[in-house]
Amino acid sequence: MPVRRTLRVLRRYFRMGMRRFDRFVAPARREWRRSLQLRVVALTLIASSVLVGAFGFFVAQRSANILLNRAQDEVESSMQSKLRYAASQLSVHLTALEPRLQNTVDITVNALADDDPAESGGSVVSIRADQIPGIQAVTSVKKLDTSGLITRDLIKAVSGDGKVAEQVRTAEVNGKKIKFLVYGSPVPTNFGHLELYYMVPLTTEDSAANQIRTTVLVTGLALVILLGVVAGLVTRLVVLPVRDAARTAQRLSAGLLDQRMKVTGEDDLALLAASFNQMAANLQRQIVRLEEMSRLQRRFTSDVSHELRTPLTTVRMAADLIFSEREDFDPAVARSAELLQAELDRFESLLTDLLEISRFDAGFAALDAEHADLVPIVKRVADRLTGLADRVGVTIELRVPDEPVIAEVDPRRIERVLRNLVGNAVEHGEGRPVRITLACDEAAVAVTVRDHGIGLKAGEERLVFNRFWRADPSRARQTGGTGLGLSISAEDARLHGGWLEAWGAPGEGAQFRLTLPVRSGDRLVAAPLPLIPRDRALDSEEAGR
Amino acid sequence: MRRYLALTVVLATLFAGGCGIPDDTDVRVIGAGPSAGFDADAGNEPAEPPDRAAASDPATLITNYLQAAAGDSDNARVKAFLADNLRAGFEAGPDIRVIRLTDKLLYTPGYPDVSFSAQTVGILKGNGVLEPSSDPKAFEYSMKVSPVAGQSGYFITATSAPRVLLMTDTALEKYYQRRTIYFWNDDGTGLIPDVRYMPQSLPTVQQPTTILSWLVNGPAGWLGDTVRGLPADTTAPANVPAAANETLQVTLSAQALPSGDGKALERLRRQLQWSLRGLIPQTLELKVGNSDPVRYSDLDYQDSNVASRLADRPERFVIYNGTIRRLTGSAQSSDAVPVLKPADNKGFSTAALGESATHEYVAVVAGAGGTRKLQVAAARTGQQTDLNNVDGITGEFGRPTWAVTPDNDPGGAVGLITGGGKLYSFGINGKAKPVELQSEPGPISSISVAPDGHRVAFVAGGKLYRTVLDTGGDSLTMSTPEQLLPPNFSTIAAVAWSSEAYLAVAGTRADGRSAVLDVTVDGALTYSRLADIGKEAITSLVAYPSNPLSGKENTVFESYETAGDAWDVLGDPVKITTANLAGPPVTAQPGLVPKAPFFLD
Repeated sequence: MPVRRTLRVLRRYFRMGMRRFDRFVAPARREWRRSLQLRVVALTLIASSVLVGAFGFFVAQRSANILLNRAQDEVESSMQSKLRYAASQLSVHLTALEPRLQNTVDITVNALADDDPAESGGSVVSIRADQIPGIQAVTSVKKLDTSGLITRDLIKAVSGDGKVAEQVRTAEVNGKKIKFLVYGSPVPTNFGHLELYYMVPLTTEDSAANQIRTTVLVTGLALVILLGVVAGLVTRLVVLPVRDAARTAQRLSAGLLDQRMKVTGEDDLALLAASFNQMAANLQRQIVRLEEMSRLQRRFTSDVSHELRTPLTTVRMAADLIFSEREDFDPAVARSAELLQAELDRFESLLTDLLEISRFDAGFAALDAEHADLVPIVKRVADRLTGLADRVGVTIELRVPDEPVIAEVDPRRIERVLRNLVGNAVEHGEGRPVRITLACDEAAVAVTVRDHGIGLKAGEERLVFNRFWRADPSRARQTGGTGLGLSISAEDARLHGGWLEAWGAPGEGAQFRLTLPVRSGDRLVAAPLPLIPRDRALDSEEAGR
Repeated sequence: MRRYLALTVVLATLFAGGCGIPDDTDVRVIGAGPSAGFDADAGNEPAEPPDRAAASDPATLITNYLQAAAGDSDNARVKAFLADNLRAGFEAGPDIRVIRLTDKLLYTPGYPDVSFSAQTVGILKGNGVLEPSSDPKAFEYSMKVSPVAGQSGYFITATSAPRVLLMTDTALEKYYQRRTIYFWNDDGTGLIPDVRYMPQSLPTVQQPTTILSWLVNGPAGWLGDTVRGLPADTTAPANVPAAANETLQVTLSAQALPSGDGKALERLRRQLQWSLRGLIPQTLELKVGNSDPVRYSDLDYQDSNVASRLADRPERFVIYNGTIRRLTGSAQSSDAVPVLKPADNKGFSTAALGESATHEYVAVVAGAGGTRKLQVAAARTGQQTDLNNVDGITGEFGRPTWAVTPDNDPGGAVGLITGGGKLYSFGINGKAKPVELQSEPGPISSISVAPDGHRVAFVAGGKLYRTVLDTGGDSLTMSTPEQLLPPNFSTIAAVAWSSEAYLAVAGTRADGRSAVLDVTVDGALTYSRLADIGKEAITSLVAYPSNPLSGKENTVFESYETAGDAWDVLGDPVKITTANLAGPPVTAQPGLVPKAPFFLD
């Protein structure tokens, strides 16, 4: 149980640590994902480290082995002569009890130690008699404690089993750790065997091995770093133009159409830059051409509207005269006069709308914002359209708050928008009630206009705001306005920094929502009223039942 | 990414720590250990003196005690005889006092007291040299022997003896072997023997090592300046291993060969071959310092010791009717007398012949009564020449003897003769010169020079002395003589060299009867030749030393002269009669007998 608890604690700590680690390395990760150069350099470093490390390990290990083997061979041959000498010296003793035996052991060890060439400096000779009690072990270096060098295992192999054996051991001599190659062999005598141990310091071999290792390590490290730098430089050659291209593309997309890449040389990257520049130039040309065309179109619309206005005024005056005198004419002519009057009204409003639209297109539309109460505006719009509603048998329901809804708006434009929306709703209401709802919160005001007419098909929610769009193109342009009303309304809403959205479903009617910021210039984040009407769910439930 | 990082870390660790020479490894067994490459001869069971437990009564214990020091290198056997109270303070060195019991042990059965009277023969040093004692007086030793509570057997509980190791001469005889080592004389022309005592308990394999250490430690004191030891600081750094492949390996430190002396190695190896004779199976391998070992297996070393030229059968001569005559049964008995022209061969009372590889030398005392004179001559072997008179000797003439008989250079020959109790030296020409003696032991009656030409034994005032002859300077000198104390003699009459280690001594015993003995050059050991030859006094003694190559320590050729008669020492005294004369037979005439026998040496 405690184990499980401990494990749980450990796991928790591990997870905590990992989380902290993740947080810590998150920037690095981000950098990793973003930088091709970093990835290439890092991968090159890792791959070359592995390769160079494996190779260096092999070289260092191999050379250390060679050094050690050479030392072993030397020691072995030296050991042979030492062994012969010791055996011959001890051959004069017939029993282990002879008092001179210890002396012989002493002088033999000294002679063997003196016999050593100077370059093997520090080698130690020791004769032990682990099988024969009464004979002291003798070591050529008196101060050296050989217990660390001549291990129990070695003694067992040499003294107990009578084998020639060797071992590498590390001992501390004069405060320095020195590796020794310890070689042991039994020395045959007339009374069993003594054991000769020959300890040769591997100082030279060790330092040589260390030097080789350091050299390999330093070389390998330098190689890895060099490879990393090379990889970085090479990647940089490729990545820099790509980055340049990306930056240029970003600027182009931001509208800075005259941005171009620098073309150097004739390589693939230069080709890329040249192609990119060509593409940019073509795009720019197209865009400029389209802009010019669009501008000409708008200008044309505006000019046409203005030019039509003057003759229309003259025609209007004449038509008004005729219309006022129509009772004097025969009925057919009087009917024509009425028709003329009605179409002139339509023509005039169409022109007005066109002018308004062209004003928006030209960017001349200005917001005349003031603090205004929206409640009277809504009521006024409803009152004005009551006549029309009564004519088509539609009742207009108003849901407005009791207190004033003050917002910084242009009342004229808002009223136009609402009139347009409510007019549309009455027109398409098919005799069913139209509901106008006003609501507000701290940041936004919303007005929804709900009808229960034929509704909108899927996808038509956006099309309704297009110019001259009609739900049913075959429908006569008898009813309705100019086809520009919703476009203008959408422009008005945009001018306020607000939204004008539509929702509709076939057979369920439609709802339009106008959302405006309370303070002009504020950014809208949410509307106080839903776009999809609340009653829709109820309706569908009823239908289901 | 994290995986790569871990991999890199692992690799780096492996690289930094994994390669290089490891700190510790496991034991790696290479193979079986070597087998003994030599054939160690266990040797015969060494003779060792009995220990304490072997004694069942106090007298035997004392007898054993007086033998215990033989070959007892760490004094353990000797200490075992002592009770705890004595043992505690007993710290004797390697020196052993060799004593000779003048009488039997005095003790009463049932009583603890044992006493004996003993003469100190000498001190046996650690290096095997027996230094003769100069004091012939006998000391009384008394000891108490009794059981000790809690332990079986007897112990020596009290002793009047000083705290030294005591050993009787019989133990010396029984438990030691005489071993002759050799040193070069000062001229580097010949080897001089140096007798040492080696415990028989020493195994054969250790004897070369011991001999080498003796050589390194220098010659015995009495040989003095006439011999040259190994160069100073020479050491034998290692044991001499048991002989393998018929080869004995000897190692000496580099100081053994002084630089600039080209012949030093040759001399050294000959010295070693002589000193280790009998221990070298076939080949001597000599390694000096760090130089390469040199192998010697020839027998050419033998001529470095002049004694090796001694013949198995000597040429023997006597004076018969004033004429030098050869004896039958000796070598070249049918040849003419060397050097002397037959016409000159008359009127001699004593004579001496010497030879070298190229020359033969003769010295005769001619004339009778007050007109005696010394005549000498030297000639190439087989040739004859005239005699020269040598003047300058006064008093009663003794027997001449040749000390130095050089090859090729007769002018360098040196002879010795006593005249009126004084010693003179003579050459081939010129006058005789008195020899300087460092002390005045008394009138010299007999003198004998060893074949090496340096060691001298002489009898002065009835006492036996040994000394060395130094021929190096302008005049002949002798170092201070050392008196030897052979047993049983009250007066010593004559001396001659019997071998390298033994002297033949003739004299009168305490009971007035005469005897001939061989004694070692230190006077310690005896080898009885003729224990009793009656009351007749011996006037002179000659011997032909045994060749050291023969291995015999006592020569078979000894002859002595009593008043008027000459005798051979052959187990019994055998008289030399006219029947023994070689050449033309002579009829025995009363009062005319062969006398003054001598050898060509």
